[in-house]
Amino acid sequence: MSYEVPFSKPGGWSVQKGILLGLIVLHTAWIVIHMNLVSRELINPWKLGGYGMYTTVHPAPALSLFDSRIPGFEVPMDDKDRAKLTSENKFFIFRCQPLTIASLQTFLKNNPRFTGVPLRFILTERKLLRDPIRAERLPHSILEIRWTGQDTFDYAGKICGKIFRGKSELRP
Amino acid sequence: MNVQGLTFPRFADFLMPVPVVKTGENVGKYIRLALMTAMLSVAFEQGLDWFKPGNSHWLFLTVLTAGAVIALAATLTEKYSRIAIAVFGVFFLYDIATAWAAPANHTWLAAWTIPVAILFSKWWEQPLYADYLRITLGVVMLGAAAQKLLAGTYLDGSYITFLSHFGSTTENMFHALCSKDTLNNPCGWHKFLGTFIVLWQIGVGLLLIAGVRSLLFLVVEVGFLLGAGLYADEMNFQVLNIALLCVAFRVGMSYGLFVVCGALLLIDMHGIGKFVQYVL
Repeated sequence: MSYEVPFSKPGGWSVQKGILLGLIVLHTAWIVIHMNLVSRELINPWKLGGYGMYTTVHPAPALSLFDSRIPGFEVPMDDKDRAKLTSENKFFIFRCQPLTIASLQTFLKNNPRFTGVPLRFILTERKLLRDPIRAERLPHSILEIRWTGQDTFDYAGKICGKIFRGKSELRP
Repeated sequence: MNVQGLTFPRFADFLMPVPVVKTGENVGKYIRLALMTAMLSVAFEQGLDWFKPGNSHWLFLTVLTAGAVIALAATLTEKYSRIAIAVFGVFFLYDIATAWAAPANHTWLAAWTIPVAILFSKWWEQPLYADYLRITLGVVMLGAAAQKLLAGTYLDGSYITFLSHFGSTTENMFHALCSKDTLNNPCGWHKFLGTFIVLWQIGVGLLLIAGVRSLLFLVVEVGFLLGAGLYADEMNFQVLNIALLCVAFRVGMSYGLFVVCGALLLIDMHGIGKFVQYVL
């Protein structure tokens, strides 16, 4: 078995050695920050290069859309719309980040059939539960839309125990 | 066999787990083969998205494929290796930057390691680059172990129990070790496996950072990575790890191991579980 002190060959300092050490420090610092964010349940542990995959079930966040007028009535979403909403919301890896208003505006602009319809978005995540051990998909956040005019709407929702609300309008 | 300066591998070379460097031969070509394999794993991971139906025009796909093949081939040469990695790195980092929330962890590991080679004109001869890879892989091993301890799902065996009962074809390979009651109280075998995985990662991480360079250590770790990849049905990450370890230990990758890694990348396109189901 041979042993060699890392970065001992060649000896002395060089620009390259400084860059390599700097990258190692940055990489290590990011992993520590990532763990801190995971421990506060702010991000998906499987993403963002913190090597937290296979530590728990993949949350596999999924967005569903409901017509609030009819309890439990899920409105089918076009695959492209779903993909766009997902990518515009960074694949929901920031777990306490509400749906962005810009993404909602784009979605509603592309789907005039929803104008005037009270809507409810529900984001679900898979969670590892115990007694007995299993995975279940549970609601993680909710966002309601109420139309106040032909082009304007109010929104309100809840994520990570915090309530948010505001007003917006369709993009011209 | 040697034809006009080109050395072709013999059949026996494909049976060796580690390269056997002949008299007068440079180990550099085996190290370049290892990094090329790491780049190949990236190409499979990132590039395949472009090939999904409706994602790209055929002309773009043709140019992309040709560019990747040329860059990978040029990486094997002494003269163009650095520039090939630079070109590959630019497209790779741009691809990550355009959708930075989506990449898997091995894509990030590749971003931290492969493009760094361009700091050196003959990166395959540089102990500094090998040391950088070794410490980076060590840090990643310790980080992965720390994340498992933080989640609290390994020492108590709960995640192994979950995979054993609800995982994919390969993930439930430890199902038979315990009765169904393990869902309420993880059995000793599942606790042992979870604890072993964490301790293994910590041990390997510390040995890598400490600078231990043993061929036996490398062979055992490559074997463990292949086993872990089989279990989790995720071979792309393991191929990247194996290839980077071959560079880090400065022994390079044998032709035999390259063929194995190439086959695993092809199988990984659909998953080992589906492959096993198809074969059985």
